[in-house]
Formats: sequence, structure tokens, C-alpha cells
Amino acid sequence: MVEPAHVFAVSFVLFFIGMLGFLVRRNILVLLMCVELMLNAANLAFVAATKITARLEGQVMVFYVIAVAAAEVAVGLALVVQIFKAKATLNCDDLNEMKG
Amino acid sequence: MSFIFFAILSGVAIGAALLVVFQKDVVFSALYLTLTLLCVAGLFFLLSAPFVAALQILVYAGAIMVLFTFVIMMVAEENSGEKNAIPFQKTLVALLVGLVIFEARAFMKSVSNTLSWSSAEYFPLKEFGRKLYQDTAFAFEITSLILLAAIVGVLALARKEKIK
Repeated sequence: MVEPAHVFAVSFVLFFIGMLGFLVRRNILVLLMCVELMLNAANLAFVAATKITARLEGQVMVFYVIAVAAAEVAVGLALVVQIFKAKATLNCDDLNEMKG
Repeated sequence: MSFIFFAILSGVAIGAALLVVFQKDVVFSALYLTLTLLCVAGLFFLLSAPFVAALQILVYAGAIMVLFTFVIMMVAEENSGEKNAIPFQKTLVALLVGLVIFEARAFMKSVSNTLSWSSAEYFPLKEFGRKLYQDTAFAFEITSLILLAAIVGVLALARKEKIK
């Protein structure tokens, strides 16, 4: 029997690791991967919530989160490809033309 | 018994997530992210959500990570490759992925026979379908519009510029 409290703890740790990676890394692809990690941590929390309340809305929410995340990753990766074609770098520190 | 599966799955998920973040090579980051997604799918199996677990494996680990791999191959950098790997990395990752898939299936066999919310096999599919297509039908249609917008956006972004 899996305790939902433990699953919430795992979800919290995964979200924290994703957030840490998002703040530390500079490669844009790794930033997108950390966003996916954070979304998965949220999905895990939703599914644990359906186990607690015995209502299915949590799993329905996960369905929509997965669908929207797929759309977001597609558009984000298309943008990354265009950035690479324009600037030939994947370092987010080099993308500062809008600064100042 | 299920606690052992939960401990192994969550441990591998957290370890793989740490490796996603702290790995220099972006190819191995994508590989470890796939491993994390498979572990989270195994956790979904443990939490009576087989539909969402299958969706996670199909869409997240199957489509989104393939998309990531395509883009990583397109924007290939010079300093990626074998020399950044830890020893026996490929064997380790293959073992871990096999372990995760085995555990998800093995757990489904080892739970109690009473079908209620306390057992892991209880998943009322009919009620889930009713919630999806009747209660949240508007969000369902809007999601299809979101996917259409994403397709149109990606095509517009990836098109070569033609100046007329």
C-alpha cells in the first residue's frame, strides 16, 4: 500500500530538482527538460491526490497537462531550432539582444 | 511489498532527475529524463492510475523525448559523445529501464483482490470516460484547439523564409 504522503514528498523533491536545474543550467534544451521535470512532479501530485480523495478529477487533470505539455514542447523546440539557426549558440547567456 | 517497489521507483526517479540536471552532455540528460519519465509512469501504476501511466509512457517518454532527441541531433555540438560518460553507463541505463518496466507489471499482480480505492488495480474506466467526455467536454475540445494551434505554430516557425 503506497502512502500518498510519501508520493507528495517524492513529487516535491522532483519539483525542487527541476527548479534547481532550471536556475543553474544554461543550455536551452536542458532548461526545457527541467520544465518537463517540474510538470511531471505536478502530475505525480495530482495522481496522489486522486488516491486520497477517491475522485477522478486528478487523473483527468493529468490527461490535460500531458496534452498541453506536448504542445508546449513542440513549439518550444521549434523556437530553439530557430534560435540556433539565427545565433548558432544554445547558451541562454548569449541571447541578450533585448536587454537594456 | 509494494513499498519496496515504491522505494526503488522513487529512488531511481530522483537519482535520474539529479543526473538530468548535473550532466554536462545534453544527450545523456535526455536519456536520464526518459528514465525519470518511465519511473514516474511506474509510480502512476502503483497509484491506481493505469490509464494515465500508459498515456505518460506513450506521449511523454514516447513522443516528447523523441522530439527532444531529434532536436538534439539537429543542433549537435562538438563536445558531446562517449568521453563524458560514466563507466558502464549504457548497461546501467538499459538495466534500469528494464527494471522499471518489470516492476510496473510485477506490482499489478501482487495486490489484494478487493476492488476498492485502497487496492492499486481499482480504476473505474467508465467513470473516467464520463468525466473526460461529459463533465470536462469543453476543456477536451479546447485541448484539441491547443494542439491545432501548436501544429500551425510549429509549421509557421519551421518554414523557410520566402520574401515575395
